[in-house]
Amino acid sequence: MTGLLIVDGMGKTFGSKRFLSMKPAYSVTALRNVSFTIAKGETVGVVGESGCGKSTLARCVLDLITPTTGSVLFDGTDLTALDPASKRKMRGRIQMIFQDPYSSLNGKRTIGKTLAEPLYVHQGVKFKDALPRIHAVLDEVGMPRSAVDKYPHEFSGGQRQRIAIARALILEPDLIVADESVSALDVSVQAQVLLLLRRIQQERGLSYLFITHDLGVVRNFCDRVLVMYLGSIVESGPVGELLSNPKHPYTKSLRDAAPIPDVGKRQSLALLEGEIPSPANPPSGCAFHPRCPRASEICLREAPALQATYDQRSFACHNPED
Amino acid sequence: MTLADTNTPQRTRTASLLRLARKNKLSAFGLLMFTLIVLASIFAPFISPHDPLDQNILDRLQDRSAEYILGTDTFGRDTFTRILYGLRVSLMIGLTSTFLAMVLGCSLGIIAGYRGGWVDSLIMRVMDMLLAFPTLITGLFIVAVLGANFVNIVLAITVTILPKFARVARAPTIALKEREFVEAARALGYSDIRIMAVHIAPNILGEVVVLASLWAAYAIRIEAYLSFIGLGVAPPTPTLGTMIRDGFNHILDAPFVSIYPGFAVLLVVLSLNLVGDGLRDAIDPKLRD
Amino acid sequence: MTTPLMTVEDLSISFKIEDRWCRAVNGISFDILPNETLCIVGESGCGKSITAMSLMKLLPDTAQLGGKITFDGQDILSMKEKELEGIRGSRIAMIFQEPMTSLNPVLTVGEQIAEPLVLHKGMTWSDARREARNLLDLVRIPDAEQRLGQYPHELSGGMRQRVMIAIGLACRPEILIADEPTTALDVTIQAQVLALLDDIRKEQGLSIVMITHDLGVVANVADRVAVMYAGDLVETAPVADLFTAPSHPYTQALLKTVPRADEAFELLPIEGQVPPIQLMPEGCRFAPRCLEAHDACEVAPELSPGPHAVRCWAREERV
Repeated sequence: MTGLLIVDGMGKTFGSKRFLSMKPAYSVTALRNVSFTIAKGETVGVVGESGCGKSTLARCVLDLITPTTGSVLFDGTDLTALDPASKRKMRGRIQMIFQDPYSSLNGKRTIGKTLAEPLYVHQGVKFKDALPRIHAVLDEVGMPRSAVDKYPHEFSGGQRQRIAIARALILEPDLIVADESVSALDVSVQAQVLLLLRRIQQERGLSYLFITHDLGVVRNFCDRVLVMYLGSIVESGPVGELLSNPKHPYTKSLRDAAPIPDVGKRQSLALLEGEIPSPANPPSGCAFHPRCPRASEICLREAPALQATYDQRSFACHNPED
Repeated sequence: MTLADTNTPQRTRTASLLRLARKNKLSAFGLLMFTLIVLASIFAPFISPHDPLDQNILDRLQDRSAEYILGTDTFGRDTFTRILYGLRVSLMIGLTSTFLAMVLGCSLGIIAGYRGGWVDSLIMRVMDMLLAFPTLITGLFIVAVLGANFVNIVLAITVTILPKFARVARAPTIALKEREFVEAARALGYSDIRIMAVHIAPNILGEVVVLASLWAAYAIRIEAYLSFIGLGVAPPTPTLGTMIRDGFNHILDAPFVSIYPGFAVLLVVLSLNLVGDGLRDAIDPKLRD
Repeated sequence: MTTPLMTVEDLSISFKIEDRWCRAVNGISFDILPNETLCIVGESGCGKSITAMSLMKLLPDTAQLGGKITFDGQDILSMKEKELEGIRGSRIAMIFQEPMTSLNPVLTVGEQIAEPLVLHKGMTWSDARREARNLLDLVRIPDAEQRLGQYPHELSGGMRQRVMIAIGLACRPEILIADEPTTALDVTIQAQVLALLDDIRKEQGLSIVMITHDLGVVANVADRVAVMYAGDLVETAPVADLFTAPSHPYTQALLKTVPRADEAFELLPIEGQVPPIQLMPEGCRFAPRCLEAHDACEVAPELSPGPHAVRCWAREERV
């Protein structure tokens, strides 16, 4: 399979080295040897809890944060090897939608200006000439054209998220990274936005890297999913297969902790003891072992490697579920 | 609703400024006073019948009269005329240096806050060094070394208040940098300069302008100090500070020579402070409405 | 039929916006039964949080309150501040969504749990501290003795929420109001906190009013459910009835918008959005987004009687 995006061995360590500063240096490993591919037209979900590195991953793919190790191959070009100017040019082709529609739009600028700016910066298009394209993209996301002269605060959260999607679309990207883009929305609006994103995908054939903590959203929106825990991918595979038959104990716990709106499936939710460890001070061996019901002696010593099985699935566990 | 407040665009802010002007009569009065002072200094030749440099030694140290509205100084020059022309110089120096300090200081503050790391440390440590000296000493030093002329005095005052602007601009920049619209701008491939100038600067402008009006008053005071101790613009050009100093020799027998220009300084500083307070109230969302 | 612990009758809450009174809560009625978990569920702007606040009359002075909230034979809404202080925190307690901002950062965990005990029960500080230790055991915080001396920032989000619950339980209240208690938490931690709340309810025999937007949480913890939309209580039912036979068009539509982790299905969004409070439609407030709306909906329907109550003109044909 040729991928649109091939991420290989990506790692990110945050450290402190402040110039003329007395503060002690520290380092936190947010990402550890993360590799995956996204095919054209595919939706890949990334799920995990806080501290698992999913947001860092999104930002590393876009090079908003520079990864410490690894490479990002986008449509045959190694993004990590580009000079800053070419990097900025490439950014038109990978776009991002953020979580908080209240803070992702500049409150001081009209919607029209916000949508025209990418065209001006990348293509030198003047506002007047950009207007037809702005109208087209507003139509596409289901917003009235009159939005052009309005400010973000005049819109609701769902509408703002549509505007943020329009901004991401205006440069006609091939890949959109969505970081918890529907988490802040009410369920009825969330469903609207998810369907909009799917329609856009069908019409434009673009790919999504979809970061979320909500397994329900993953199940309904993604083709494949990467499950992350404390900076590493612990399991990946096609969504339906992975959730109905998880191999990694963490995936299983995550699935079983997700409450399902169905009294027929009412269950005791608390299956996993303990807290999520801090990335600054990760456990030895397999990072999940202190909470794992299947942990054995080897898990304390040795971090399991990600091993591929059948059907594009892979997992990193010494004692996988049956 | 609280979220919408933080994003209030300029348009509604201007409207609320007008509303505030109506509410806050004191600030409106300050604004009126300042406007009148500026107009008076600009149209000085049309208002005053005298020449500011015209010496009339026979009429020296006179108190108020129909001929000399605010009396005359040691050389028999008309105090009222000299105050008007002095205001010109003082305002020019005060406002130019404040404007320069605002532009440079904010740029440095935004760069420091946005870039972070060693750039931040370097810029802010230099600013701290400048702040560590008392304002007047820094100003004195620069003027004493470079010589007292218009450009150097503007430079001296600019340097003394520039670090304050840098500090004020840096803090909100750091907060804004974390906001997703700045990340979105980076994801869209905008250059750093564009992000700082187009996306960050307008968002901190409101707070900065408030302080600018307060520090403009401060700058005018510094100019008066420098002139008073003889490091101001060279005579015979009238400035408020030199006028106060000139009159100081006769403070016992003809106090009015110093008092009237002193009063002019007071009026300018007071009006700017009133305007600044009003602006601060207008921009603070908690005090709006 | 059990006697309700608290009865809310025709509660309305209005705020003045641009010189007009706007009803944020539009005449709702429900009971809280002993030792049950009642979930009030709805999207943002439906009035669920201010309803919860009004149960302790914890609303700003600018709010205009109508109706009656009867607790232990007294009307909460007509009580004086002084009388309310005797109820708040001791007989009705509340926990909030964001445990970091609802805990005081400069006081230790122990001091914050002990404070209501000293205040309401007149305990000495040393007795209160001992009781605080027991409470930490109750909310299953390990190393309780050591935790007492820690500050909120030294604890994880899940631990902070447990501390909040301990503070809420300190005076053994009869009703615990939990406003989105797990929304800020990770799913595995949310599961722990929900299980803890349910165990405590059973052990202590108290009633929990849980405010949430998450129908998954509702299905897993509620005994009874009240669904709110735009200030109206549109449906109330025992949890099994609500999920197997949802009757209000809004409840039905809402269940089709929630993505589920166990199966993929075609999501059906509700078109449009919740109207802002100053632009509420006349009549049934859901009508503009309702696929089944007809002429009758221009007049607001009443809540039907019975344990499974619906506020919709079309209910006769449905139930």
